[in-house]
Amino acid sequence: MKAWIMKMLGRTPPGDMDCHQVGELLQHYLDGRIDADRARRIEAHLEECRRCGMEAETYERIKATLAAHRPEVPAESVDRLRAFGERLARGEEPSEP
Amino acid sequence: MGQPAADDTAFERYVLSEIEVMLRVAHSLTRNHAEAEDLVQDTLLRAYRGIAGFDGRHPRAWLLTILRNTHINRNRRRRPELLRDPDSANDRLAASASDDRTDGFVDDDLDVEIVRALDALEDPFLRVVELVDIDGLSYAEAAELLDVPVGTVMSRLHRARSRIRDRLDRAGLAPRSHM
Repeated sequence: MKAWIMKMLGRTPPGDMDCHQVGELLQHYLDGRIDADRARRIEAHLEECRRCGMEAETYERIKATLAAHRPEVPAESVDRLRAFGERLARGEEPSEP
Repeated sequence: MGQPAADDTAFERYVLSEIEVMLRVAHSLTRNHAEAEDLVQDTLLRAYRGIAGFDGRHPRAWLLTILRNTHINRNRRRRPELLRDPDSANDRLAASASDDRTDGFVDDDLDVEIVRALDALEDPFLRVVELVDIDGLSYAEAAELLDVPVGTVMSRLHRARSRIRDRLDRAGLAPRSHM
């Protein structure tokens, strides 16, 4: 709300970035793919702008939910492949590819 | 039996440590545990044969390139309709949605809507979400695997997440966007 009022008043929003600029960079920021200076400016905006803060939280929830669905790889498959790799490392390459 | 690689410790150091990652990615590509294991085994063999020429930089990217090429070669022998089952990615999510969770951050409504949102994504967008957000690859690693520029991975990923976000919005699970 504060950011909106400031925008209506033609003033620079918190953190000197406006909501549109933050929106353009938000996913880069959440993925940690942004330089420290811009990250600080985005953080300042998110601290003050409730709606952008909620937007960021939504994307974080999406990412967290997706990451929580990362499948476990079957341990027996890993064991078999590791054993296969170790045989290769010992020079026991199979004759058939 | 062939000759050992020039540097067997390099093979162990760079390759064997990545088996789990390769298996996870292989499963994303094949949608099948047995095929994924076969694909990784073929990849290990090719990596072993190529380790002498590997410069040691970005081993995961190197392995993912081998994995991709191996996958392509294997698929040349298959019928096109078997290459992708459009439901299987979401089956994978839906199956894990019923698992016990320790992360209280996620909730059932969100899970359901995210699965639905994934179901609506076209394959290129679904692929990057799977590889980056689910499997945990970096943008660069996903780009290597998909053989597209990093910028393409980034834009597809961001558009995919935006679509998921819009779906949550329509379901009343996210604030209306103002950006």
